[in-house]
Amino acid sequence: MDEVWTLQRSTTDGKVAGVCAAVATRYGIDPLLVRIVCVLLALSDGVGLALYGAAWALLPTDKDPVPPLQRMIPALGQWSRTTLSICVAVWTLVVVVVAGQFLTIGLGPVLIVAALWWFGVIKPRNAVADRRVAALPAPTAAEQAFVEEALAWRARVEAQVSGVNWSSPAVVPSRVIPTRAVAEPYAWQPAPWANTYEAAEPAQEAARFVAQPATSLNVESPASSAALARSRRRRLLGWATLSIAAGVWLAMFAVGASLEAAVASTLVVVGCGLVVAAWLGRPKGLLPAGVVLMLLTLGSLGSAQAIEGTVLQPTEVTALPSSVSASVGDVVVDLSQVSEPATRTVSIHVAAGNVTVICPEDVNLVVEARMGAGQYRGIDAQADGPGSFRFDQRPDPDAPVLTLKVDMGLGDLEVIRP
Amino acid sequence: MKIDSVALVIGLACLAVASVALLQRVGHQSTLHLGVIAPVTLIVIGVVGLLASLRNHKP
Repeated sequence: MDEVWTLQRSTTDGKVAGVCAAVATRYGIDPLLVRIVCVLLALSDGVGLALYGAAWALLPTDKDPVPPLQRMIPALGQWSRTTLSICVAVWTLVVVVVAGQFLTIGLGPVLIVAALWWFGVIKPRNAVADRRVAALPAPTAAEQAFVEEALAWRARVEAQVSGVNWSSPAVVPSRVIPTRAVAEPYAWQPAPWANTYEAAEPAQEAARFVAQPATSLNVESPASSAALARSRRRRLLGWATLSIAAGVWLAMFAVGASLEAAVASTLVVVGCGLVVAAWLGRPKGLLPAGVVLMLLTLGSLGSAQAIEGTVLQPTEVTALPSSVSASVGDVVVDLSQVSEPATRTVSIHVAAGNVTVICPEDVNLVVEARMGAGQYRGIDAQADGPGSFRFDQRPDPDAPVLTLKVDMGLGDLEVIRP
Repeated sequence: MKIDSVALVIGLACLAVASVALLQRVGHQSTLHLGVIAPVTLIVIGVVGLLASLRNHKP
C-alpha cells in the first residue's frame, strides 16, 4: 500500500493527469491497458473515477513534489499515509453511493480487476523480489565491516547535524575515527591520452570519409531492414483484414442478413485481425475500427433489447419456456391465450427493465420475487423493492398452480389478469 | 518477440461482443445471460492481456 503513495504522476506521458502512465511505468504494464481498466472501473459505480480523482489530488508529479491538494491545504502534508488512505476509502464510498444510482454495471468488474491485480501483478512481483533477495550471496567479512563503518559514519553525521558532541566516544564508536593519514593534495597531470587526442586531425578524417564511394557505405542497417519487414507485414495484414471484412459485409447483404448481423460479422474479422496483429504488428486504423464496430454492436445489442423487449405469447403451456432471461429491456409474458392451463413454474431474470405477466383466469398464482430497485404490483398485493417477496394466492384448490420466480435488478414487476 | 497486448485485448473483446451479438441474432438469447458471460469474458481477456503485458516487460 505504501508503494502507491510513492507514485509520481507523469507530466510527459500522461493523457489527462498522468496517473495511468505512472501506474503503467511503475508496474511495467502497457499504459493503454491501464487506461482501459481505469475506464472500466469508472463505469463500475464510479470507482475508477473516484480513485483517479484522489490520485490526481494527492500524488505529486515528476516535476512538482507538492501534490495539488496539499498546495491548497498545506496542513495535509502533516497527515499520515494511513489517514490519507482512510480519507480516500471514504471518498470512494461516497462516489460509489452517488454514481451507483446512475450506473448499473455494479462492483463485479472492480472485484475481478482487484483479483487480477493482486494475483497477476503484486504477488508475482513480490515472489520475484523474495527470490532475488534469497539468491544474494551472504556478505563477506569485508562487506560487513564496510556496512558497519557506513552506519557509524551516518550516526556521526546525524549527531553533528543535531548538535551533539560527536567527538565523544559515547556517541561515536572509536573505530570509526579515521586513522589513515590524509593524502597529499592531488597534483594535476595531463591525461595520458591527451597527446593522442591533440594529434588527431579531424579535417583529414572527414575528407577521407567524404571521399568514400557511396556504395561502400552501409546505408540500410539490420535494424532498419527488420523495421521495414515489420512495416510490410503490418500493411499486408491491414489490407487482408480490410478485404476479408468487405467480403463478409457483401456476403451478409447477399444472403439478406440484417445490418446488425453484418456489423457483428465484420467485427469478428476485425477482432481476428487484431489478435493476429498482436504478434505481427498493428496496422494503422485497425484498432479504432475495432473499437467503433464494437461500440456499434454493443449499441445494437442494448437498443434491440430495450426497444423490442421480449414478448412471449404462447397458446399452449408446452410452448412456455421454463426460464426467460434478458439483460436490458422489458419482458412481457402473456398467458391469457393459453387454452388449457397446467401447473407450471417459470423463472424470469431481468437486469434492467419492467416485467409484466398476464395470467390466465382459472389458475392459482404463486409469486416469488427478488427485486432490486422497483415496485411489485400484483393482483391483490403491492410491495416496494429492494427485497424478497412471496405471494401465494390459491382461491381454488383444484386449479393448476402457476409459480413465477422472478429475479430483477432494476424495474417494476406487474402481475395482472386479462 | 514482443506481443501487442492492447491489440490482443481489444481483439478478444471484439470477438466476444461479436459472438454474443451473432448468437443472439440466431435465437439463443434465452441461453445467453450477460450476467454470467460478461464477468467470465472479462476475466479471460484480463488474464490474457496481463500475461502478454508482463511477458513484454520481463527483464
